[in-house]
Amino acid sequence: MIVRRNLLVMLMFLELMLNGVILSLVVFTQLADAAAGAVLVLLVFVVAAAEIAIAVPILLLLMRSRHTLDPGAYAGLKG
Amino acid sequence: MIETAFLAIFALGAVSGAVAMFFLRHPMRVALALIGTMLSLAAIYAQLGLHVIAVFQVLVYVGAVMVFMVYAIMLLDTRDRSFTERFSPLLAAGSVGLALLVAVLLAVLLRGEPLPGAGGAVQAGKTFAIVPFAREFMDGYWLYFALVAVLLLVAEIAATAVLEIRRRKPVGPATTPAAEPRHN
Repeated sequence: MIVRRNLLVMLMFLELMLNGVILSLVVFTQLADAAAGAVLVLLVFVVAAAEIAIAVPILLLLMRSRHTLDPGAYAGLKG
Repeated sequence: MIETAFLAIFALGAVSGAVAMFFLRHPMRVALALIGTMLSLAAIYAQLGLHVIAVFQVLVYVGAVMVFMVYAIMLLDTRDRSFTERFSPLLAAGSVGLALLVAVLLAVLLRGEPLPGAGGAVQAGKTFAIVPFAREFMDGYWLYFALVAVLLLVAEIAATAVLEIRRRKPVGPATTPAAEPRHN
């Protein structure tokens, strides 16, 4: 995720990592037969959707202000 | 036999999509590779008997999250520098981190320790069956259900607030109060 130059692609890699977490949760929930794991899978789905609903408009605002999604353009606080 | 073959095919599809995401340049192609990975995962969940999770995967992730991302990609400018230069200067450090992660995973796998709960016969899809899952969710975890509903409401309000941010118009002699749009 950190090696790409596009913020939206970074967000997609974040979603890929969340999918990996969900896959692990599902498998271990099946092995342990735990209802809490099933609930947590559903909660991760919901949190991922809510996160995208906020992150993508923020990215569009950033695009509107600097006309680029290169993270190097947002290094104003770099010492 | 055929189930194992299908599982292997969809697992290979998921991994191929994830690897393709890393090497593809255009964000739309990266999004399509991610959609392919997500659909392969949904097929794997369905094969494991977890039809509820497979449906959630397709409806929520592919149908909502990725469609939203595709809409955002359509608003991008192809002249952006991030389209022509794929990788950041952190490529070397990221590759070292990936190699370390793969080494740790391989070391754990080759050690051969059994997973907790493995060894006994697990009934496919029993934990995620819709009736016991719904009963358990609403009986024992109703507080988390309510908190998630609040989280979704907050996310909806935040997304609306973010989209309502507008650029301030410059005030000049040509601007008359009658010409300015009223925001009620």
